[in-house]
Amino acid sequence: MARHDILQGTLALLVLRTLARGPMHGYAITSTIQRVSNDTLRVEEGSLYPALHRMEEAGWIVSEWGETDTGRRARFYSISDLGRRQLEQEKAQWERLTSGVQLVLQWGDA
Amino acid sequence: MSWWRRAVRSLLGDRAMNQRIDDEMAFHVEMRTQENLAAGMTPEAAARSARLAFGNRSVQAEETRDVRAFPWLDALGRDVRFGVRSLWRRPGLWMTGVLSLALGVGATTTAFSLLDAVALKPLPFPDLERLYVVAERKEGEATGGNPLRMRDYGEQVASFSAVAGYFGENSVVTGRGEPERLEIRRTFGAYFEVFGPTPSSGRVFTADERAGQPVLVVRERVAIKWFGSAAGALGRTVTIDGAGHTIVGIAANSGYPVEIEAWAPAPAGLQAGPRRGSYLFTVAKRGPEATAAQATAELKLVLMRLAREYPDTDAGREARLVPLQAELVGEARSTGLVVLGIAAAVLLIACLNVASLLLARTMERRRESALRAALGAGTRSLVRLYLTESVVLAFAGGLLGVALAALAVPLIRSMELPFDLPRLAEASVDGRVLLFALGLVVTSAVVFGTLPAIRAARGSLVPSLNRAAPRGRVRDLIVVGQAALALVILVGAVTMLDGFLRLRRSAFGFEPERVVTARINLSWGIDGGALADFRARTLEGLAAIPGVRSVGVVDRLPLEGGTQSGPVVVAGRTLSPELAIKSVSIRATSAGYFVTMGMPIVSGRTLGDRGTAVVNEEFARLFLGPEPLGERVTVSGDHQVEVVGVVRGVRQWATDEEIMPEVFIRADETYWPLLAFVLKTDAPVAAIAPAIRARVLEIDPKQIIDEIRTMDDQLVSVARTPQILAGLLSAFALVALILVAVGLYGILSGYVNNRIAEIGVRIALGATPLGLVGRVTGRGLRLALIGVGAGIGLSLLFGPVLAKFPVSLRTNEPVLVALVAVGFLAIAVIACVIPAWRASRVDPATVLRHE
Repeated sequence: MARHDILQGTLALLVLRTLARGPMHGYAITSTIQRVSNDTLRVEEGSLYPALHRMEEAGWIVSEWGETDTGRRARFYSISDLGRRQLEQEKAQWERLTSGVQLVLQWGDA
Repeated sequence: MSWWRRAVRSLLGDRAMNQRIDDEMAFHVEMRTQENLAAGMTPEAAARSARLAFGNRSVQAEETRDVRAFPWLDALGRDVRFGVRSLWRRPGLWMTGVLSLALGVGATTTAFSLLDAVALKPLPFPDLERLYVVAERKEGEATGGNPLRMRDYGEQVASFSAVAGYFGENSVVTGRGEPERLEIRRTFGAYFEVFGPTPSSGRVFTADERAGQPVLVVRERVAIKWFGSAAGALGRTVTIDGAGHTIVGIAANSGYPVEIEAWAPAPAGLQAGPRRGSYLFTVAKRGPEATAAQATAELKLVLMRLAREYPDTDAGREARLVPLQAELVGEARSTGLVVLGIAAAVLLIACLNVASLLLARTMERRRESALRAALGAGTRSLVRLYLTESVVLAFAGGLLGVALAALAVPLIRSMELPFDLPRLAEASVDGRVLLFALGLVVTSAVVFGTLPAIRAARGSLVPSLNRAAPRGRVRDLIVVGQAALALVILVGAVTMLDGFLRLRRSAFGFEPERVVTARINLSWGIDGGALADFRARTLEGLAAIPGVRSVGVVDRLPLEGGTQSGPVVVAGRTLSPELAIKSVSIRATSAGYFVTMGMPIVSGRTLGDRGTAVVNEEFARLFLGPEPLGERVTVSGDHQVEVVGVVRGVRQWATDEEIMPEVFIRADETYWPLLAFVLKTDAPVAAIAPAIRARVLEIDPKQIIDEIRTMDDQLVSVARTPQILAGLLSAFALVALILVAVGLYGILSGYVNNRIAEIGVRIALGATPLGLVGRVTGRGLRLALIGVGAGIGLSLLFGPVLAKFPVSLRTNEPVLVALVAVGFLAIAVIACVIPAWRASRVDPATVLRHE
């Protein structure tokens, strides 16, 4: 299966969903998304950081510097309450979108 | 994150944040590299692949930073930071620039703050734009108004919605312990309707009361002083000049003029008084629908009617409507504008200094500019860079300048102020002044920033990497302009200083030494007999004080202006038409006055029996001819006196050197209740003052002495306005001089720096140090000389402007101009010699090796 770049506008959804499981640094976010999606989804690594900072400006996530398991300093992001609400909204929106796409695809097949 | 933190971060930059972003991305790449290694790649391949996967790191970092800041502010912030940094590296440049601007902005802001407080701020009267002074003239001479005429204007000029008049009085309040003074305005007509103020409690006068009932509106501070509270004062009665007045209203403590403490209707007798006296300050309020032209036309018609009706008093009378603000502060306004103009010239010199400095800098930075252009910097970004530097300089200088003004204004305010400019005490660096200063700063930045920016733009188009020294023609021109401007300012200041000093030193016609004056203002309305009695007994009492050599009395001291005046008739002579209507000053005085004041009697004797008079030389020369003694003169229309003596004249006004014709008559033959006693004594004023007070109290325990001081102090006080003006202008001139010296110094330093190699060669070839000093100094002096020439021309042009000052000045006096020119050139020599001397010390070996 070919790997897909992430659809425009869904990066925030994926990041928020990933962070909903617990705080992690940028690299972990990338690899988690990749792993959980069975390598289907690939975050363009460089563009993750402007997005993360934008989301922090918006108040959806907060960041702090901490240490990794291996003792490296890294910036850890975690989801805020505002971010959880945003996640619910984006999820609902995504489901509406996919069910809409589903309906169009199944049209006339029955 | 709040927007302002973002804005601050954008402007100031956030190095820590940038570092964190870089760290975060580096961490990411490193993690990817390790994963690649774990997957079995070679170290090189692992790192390369990680970098490729991440993409362009600096672009991503830039984008991330933009998230955190306002991009446009960020660009501005970068420019400003660059400007500050590049200025910081040149402390000489920015310190000179900032200080120059600070002095210029400080001078201009101070001048504006004074002008604004005194003349520009609207006076606090309701509907000020509809208030006019009815300025009357009769046979070409300005006269005061009259209550009956005021009433006629109110009734007959339909465009006036209200008219009012007043005169000020120094009243005495008795019955409350020690007698005390009350600055009171006696009102006529609808005073409060015209002038305000609306009472803070109580009411103004009713129509019935206006006609002359003994009621009073007092300022809150007076009410509190008397009765403890404003409310407690209402309805109470105080005795003013012997008559009980009931307080009906309380006015706020602020208002114009602030020294007025109370208002009361003028006595009914005065309001109905004869049509002859002309003493009233008459103000009319135009109706909201009427135009000024309409009101003027109607007033003219009314005057024509009155001239027919009352030919004795009103024939030949004209009147103009002068806007109240212009009448009250117009003179101060034109003086202030001239001062502001001079200060602006100082600022212009400062701007030229900075322009010259920045120009020199663009020259030095030609190679930097060329390099930037070569690396792809657009003309616009280069110009922006230079402009930002100018703006940074302008704001730093402006800030410091405003701080200087904030120091200078209270300093001026704390001096003893001229009595006729009460609002000078309200001068402050307030919002209006700050706005003005901001305007100055922006204008300055444009003035001195444009030229270097244009230079920068041109320089970048022609990347000149050659080393030919720039000729610096523009800078030469700038220094010439500065010198010319400074010379104009210096001439103005020296002219003013000269006027002031002559005012203090010149012959006044009397000897102020050891003369003590005691002023007692009796109230208008005091009975003539009582006045004469008080005056005579006081003269007697003061003469008896040990140590007093002689005493006299006069209605008004010299230099303070005139009192009564009018045309005179000389028995047996036909005066020329010009003399027949000439206004002659009539002084009410006593026999001992002349000897006390040291006014020499040049022929005849002093005042004697009733009906005798002394005249001054000017009067004798104009009106009487070679044998003045024994001539009979009729003054004040019907009072004939015989001339028994001639004295040397004294100046009536401090600010005017002209000596006016005067007739001195016995004080008891005229009515003037303002008395100035003069005593010649060797005792110091502090020692004699208690004795004077004691004597006056013995004669009349209800009397107040308004002021006891030496005639010398009197001289200082009348010269207050010229003194402040002279001080201000001298300060400005000093600043201008310093700025030009700095400018000259800077340009010559630049000249020497640019030619250091040439100078080295000259020295190596045997040029003497003296010769070099002469060469460099000569170049600077040539510029200064051209500037001085242009400046003399300019100051001839501007001389007449100084005539707006309320002082008689010798404008364009050749001696003064020459003095200034020589002094200026002396300073120029000093400014030139220092860089020249440095040039002569150049070590040829070092310079040539540097090549």
